[in-house]
Amino acid sequence: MNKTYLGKLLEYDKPLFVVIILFMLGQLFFTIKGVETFPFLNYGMYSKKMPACDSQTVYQLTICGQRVNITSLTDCEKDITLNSIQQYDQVKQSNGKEKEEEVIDHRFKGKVSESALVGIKAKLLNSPSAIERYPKWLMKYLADMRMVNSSTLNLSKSTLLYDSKGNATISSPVTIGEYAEQ
Amino acid sequence: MIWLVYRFWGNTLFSQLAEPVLVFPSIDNTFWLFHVLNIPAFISQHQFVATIFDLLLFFFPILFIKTQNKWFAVAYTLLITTYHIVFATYAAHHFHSLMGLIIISITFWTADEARHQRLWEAARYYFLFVMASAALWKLFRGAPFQPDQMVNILKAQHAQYLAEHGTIGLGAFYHYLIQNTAIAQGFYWLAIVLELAFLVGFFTKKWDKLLLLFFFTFIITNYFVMGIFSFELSIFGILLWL
Repeated sequence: MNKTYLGKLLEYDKPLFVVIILFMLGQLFFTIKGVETFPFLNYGMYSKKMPACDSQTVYQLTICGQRVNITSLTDCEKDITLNSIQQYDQVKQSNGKEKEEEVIDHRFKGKVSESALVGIKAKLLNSPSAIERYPKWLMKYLADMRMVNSSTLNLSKSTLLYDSKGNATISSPVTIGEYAEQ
Repeated sequence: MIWLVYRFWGNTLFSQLAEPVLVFPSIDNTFWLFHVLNIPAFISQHQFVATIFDLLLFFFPILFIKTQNKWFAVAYTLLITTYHIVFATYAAHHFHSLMGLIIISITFWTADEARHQRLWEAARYYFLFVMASAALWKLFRGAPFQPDQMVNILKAQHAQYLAEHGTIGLGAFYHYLIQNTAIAQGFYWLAIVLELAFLVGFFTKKWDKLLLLFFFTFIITNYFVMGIFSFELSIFGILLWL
C-alpha cells in the first residue's frame, strides 16, 4: 500500500485525488508562467533582486489643514491609503495610460470584437473621470473614519534621498491632488 | 470573528470602503472575470449590498457552527474570496494575507469526517508550500547573494515611515539596519532559513510544533524588521497545531 498522502487519496478518495492533482498542475503552470491567477498564487515576495533604492517617492497628506501620518493609520487603512495614492500618482504621471492595457490587448485583441474589447478595458482600467474623482474619494474615506464635517484635502509628494551613510533628506513637496468641499 | 473585528477596526470591510473609484485588478484572470461581471463595483458602489455582505461575513461562520451545514462553509469561502478580490482591487496590491482563511474554510466543505481530515491535510501541505516556495523563489532568483539586497528592500519599504516619523522609535531600528548592511542581510537569510525549514514538513509531522515556532518567529521578525503585520496569515498556524 502506498503510504504517501497522494497514494492514500488515490486509494480511498479518488474525486479528491483528482481535485488535488488538478490544483497542483494549475499551480505548477502559473508558477512556471510567473503570473498569478487566483487561487494559484506565487509567494515570491521580496525575491526579486532589488536595485539601489537611494531615491524614493514619499507622500504628504493634509486634511483640514492637519497632517495625516499615513504610516500611523491601522495596517489595513495604511494599505488602502498608501497603495491607492501611489497608483493615483503613477496613473496621473502616465496621463492615464496603464501598463495593464498592453496585457489586455495581448490576451483579447483579435479574439473578441472591438466593441467587446472596449467594454473589457472600461471595466479593468481607470477612466479619466475616476482618476479625477480620486482625491474626493480619499477625502471621503479618511473623513468618514474621523467624523470630519467640512473638508479640504491636499496630497503632495517629495523625493526622499538616502546618502551613502543611510541618512535621509526630503525634497520640498509638490502638490499632486487637491479637494475642497463646495 | 477576530479577523472581522480586525478588518472593522481597520475600516476596510465592504461597507467601509466609501465607494472607491480607482481599480487595480492587475493581470490576474480571476480578478478580471470578477470585474467583467461587475462584481466589485456592484458591491462597493451600493452601500446596502456592501452592508449585507459584511453581515454575511459575520453570520455564515456562526450558522455553520450552529448547523454544521457544509453549504454555509461553501458560502463563506465564496464570500471571503470575493472580499479578498474586492479589497485587493481597491487597495491596489495583490495581498496574500487572506489565503489562510480561504484555504482552511474549504476543509469544511464536506460533512464526511474522513474527507475533512484529508482536506485538512491538504491545507497543511498548502501552507508548507507557501512557506517553502517563498524561500525557493528567493534562492532561485539569486536575491540573497546580492549583498545589499535587504538594505535596498528596507530603504524602499520604510521610506514613507522615515519621512513621517524620522529616526525615533522603530524608525531608529530601521535606520540602524539600513546603515548596517551585514545585519540587515542576516535578517534576510534568517527569513530564508525559517521558510526553507518548512520543506521538512512534507516528509514528517514530527517537527510541526517546531515549525509553528519558526512560523511565529517569522511573523514577529517580519513585524519589527519589515513593518508587516501578518496577523491574518497566522491562522495557517492552526494546521501545525491540530
